[in-house]
Amino acid sequence: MNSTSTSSKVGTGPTFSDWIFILIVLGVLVLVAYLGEIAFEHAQQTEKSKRNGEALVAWLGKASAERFNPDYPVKACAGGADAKTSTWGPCLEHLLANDFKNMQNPFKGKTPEFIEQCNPADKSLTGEIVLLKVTPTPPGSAVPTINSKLAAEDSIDQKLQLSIGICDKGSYLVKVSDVEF
Amino acid sequence: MTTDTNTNNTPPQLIDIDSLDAKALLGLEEAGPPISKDQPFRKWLYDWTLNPNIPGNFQPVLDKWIGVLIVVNLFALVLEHVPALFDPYKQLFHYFDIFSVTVFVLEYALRFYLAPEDEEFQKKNTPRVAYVFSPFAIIDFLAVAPFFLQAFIPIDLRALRFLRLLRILKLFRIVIPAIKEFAELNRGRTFRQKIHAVVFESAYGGKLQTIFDTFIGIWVIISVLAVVLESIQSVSYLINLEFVILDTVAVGIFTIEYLMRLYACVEEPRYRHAFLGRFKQARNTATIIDLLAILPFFLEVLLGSVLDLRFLRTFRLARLLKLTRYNDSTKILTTVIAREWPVISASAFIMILMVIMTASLGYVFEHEAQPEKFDNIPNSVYWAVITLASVGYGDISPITPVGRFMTVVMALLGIGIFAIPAALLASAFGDQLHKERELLKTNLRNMMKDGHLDDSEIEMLRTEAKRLHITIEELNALLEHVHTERVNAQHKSVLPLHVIAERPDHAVEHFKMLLSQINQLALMADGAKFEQAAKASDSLTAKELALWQQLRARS
Repeated sequence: MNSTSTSSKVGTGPTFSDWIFILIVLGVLVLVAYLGEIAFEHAQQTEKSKRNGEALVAWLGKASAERFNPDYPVKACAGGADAKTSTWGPCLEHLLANDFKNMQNPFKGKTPEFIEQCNPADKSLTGEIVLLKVTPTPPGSAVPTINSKLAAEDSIDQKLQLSIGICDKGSYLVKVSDVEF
Repeated sequence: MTTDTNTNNTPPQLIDIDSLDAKALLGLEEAGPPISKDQPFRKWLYDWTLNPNIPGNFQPVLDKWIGVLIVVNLFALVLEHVPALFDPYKQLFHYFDIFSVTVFVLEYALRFYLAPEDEEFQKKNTPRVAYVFSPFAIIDFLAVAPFFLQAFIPIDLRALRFLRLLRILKLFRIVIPAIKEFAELNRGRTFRQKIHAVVFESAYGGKLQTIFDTFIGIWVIISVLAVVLESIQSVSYLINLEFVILDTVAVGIFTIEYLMRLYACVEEPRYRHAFLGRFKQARNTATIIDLLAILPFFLEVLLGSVLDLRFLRTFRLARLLKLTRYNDSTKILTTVIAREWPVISASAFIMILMVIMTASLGYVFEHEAQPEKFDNIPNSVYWAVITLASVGYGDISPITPVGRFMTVVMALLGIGIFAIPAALLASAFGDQLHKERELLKTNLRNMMKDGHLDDSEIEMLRTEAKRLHITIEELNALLEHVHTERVNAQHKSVLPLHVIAERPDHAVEHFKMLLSQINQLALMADGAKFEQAAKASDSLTAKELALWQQLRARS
């Protein structure tokens, strides 16, 4: 019995080609794990970009309730003031200099830019924040709203409907949320 | 079934053709498992629920559903760590946990109560204590213990959630016996042959091969579900990282499966050659599907920064096609398409011809009236296809009288021409099934030549009956038909006795033939056993037995 089992063990152990196969499998597994790690890192960077967008949504949402009060401390973002002086440009500058001074585009390691749209053909847009002004169209129009870039000179003296998104690793849009400002 | 017969060292089962019955052949006897009602309740309950040696009892069903519950528990545990999913459904997760623990506790109690009937413990002085300290029972205990700890002892809940991972160890109860059976079946076989037995269907695979197939099937379904859910923005926004991890694990599993198939395929008679065999295997449709299932991951990560390969993600849905390997109907359909390809391609040619002709006529008659819709022939092709295929969206339609008349004629023709491939495939599919059933009939006839069916023949019948969707009634009719044919053939081979008796020369020849057959029988049969059987059943008179002994002595 012992001799049988010993001989079968000797006869059926992995051969040279079996070892090559095992090595290939291990190699491929390492490759899959490595590529998975890369994909995971990219996904994490996208998640960080989403957190940037969410932070902006949270700030804008909070400010929306307060910025029309006369004693609102952030004068650059206050509403109800003169339409010519109360514009998005100074408000954004204030935000980037104060509340979001540490905000970084995780793909580039610098302050994110506010853009109109993502473009998969342009990989330099990864991690940037898409900030759009949502304008309702007159009743009966083919589309209910028109989205356009919130430009620096756009007035913020009135309530605004904004749409916020980010560009992921492939420069595709990931919508974060709509918010009233 | 084959594996069962291989593992048990029982003599091969032979079913005499005179006692053939489809239900018995297919293992669907109405009598149910051989469990006597006249035995103690505990033994009766054990035989019905936990005895692995009784075919037809509930043991495999119980094992299967416990296995499913363990896998679902594992997923629940993973999903609990996604706050976006866990928070809104916290209560549901909790109820599921209570349900799982209840089932596991009931299972533990059942095994504890029935331990004295289990072969493994019944010889011990205290079978139940022996059960409690057995490895599987310890695993079962560990699987439910955290739940009760959580209820009675105030300790960190997160650690307890982690401990619930131990439930996966319960799968060992299914996997370890399968591994043991596999090791037994593959004793003395090479490493590559063992790999082959795991990934390809063979007599050496046993339950482990079924578990492997199930495992791959589950991962196919999970990864396809993930691809579908990923397309829902609100879902992918919340659990994007989890999708990435899941996809990596799925690709890892499918890649190993792919490599195992390529490495071990040379054990298949069709792919014997080390290089050419593997090349042939790689060109096989199922293997190409396997490659398509993993390729998008590698291409997207490796080339994603250079090329926009996001569209490749959709090809991950090709993983669903991996399931066709386990579906015989797909194989029949592939055979049908290959067989009918000349006719299909001919009808496709006519279809193309009709589309071009309709598009051209549409352009000729409608261009002037609607230049924006029928601006050129290629753009009219869309309208032609929608019209000929009887879809008729109505976004483009003819307005001139001649154009409308032409459309009526072409649409009527289109109904017939476009229906050809569908009708062709349907009839060819039926025809192929008929052919395969005829082939089964021929095989059955050949099998019955020796007067009985052995284990491998019964197994083949079962597999084919399942594959060809033959009902019990149909199989019974088939068996009856083949049996009658055989009897008739035997009768036709010799003239009726009264006809032979009319001609003395025929009668002499017939007598010589019968004597020769008896001599052959005397030579081939075991004399002692023959006489013992004849005496035991009193089927031969003393004179007949003496004549037999005389003939035997002569031969």
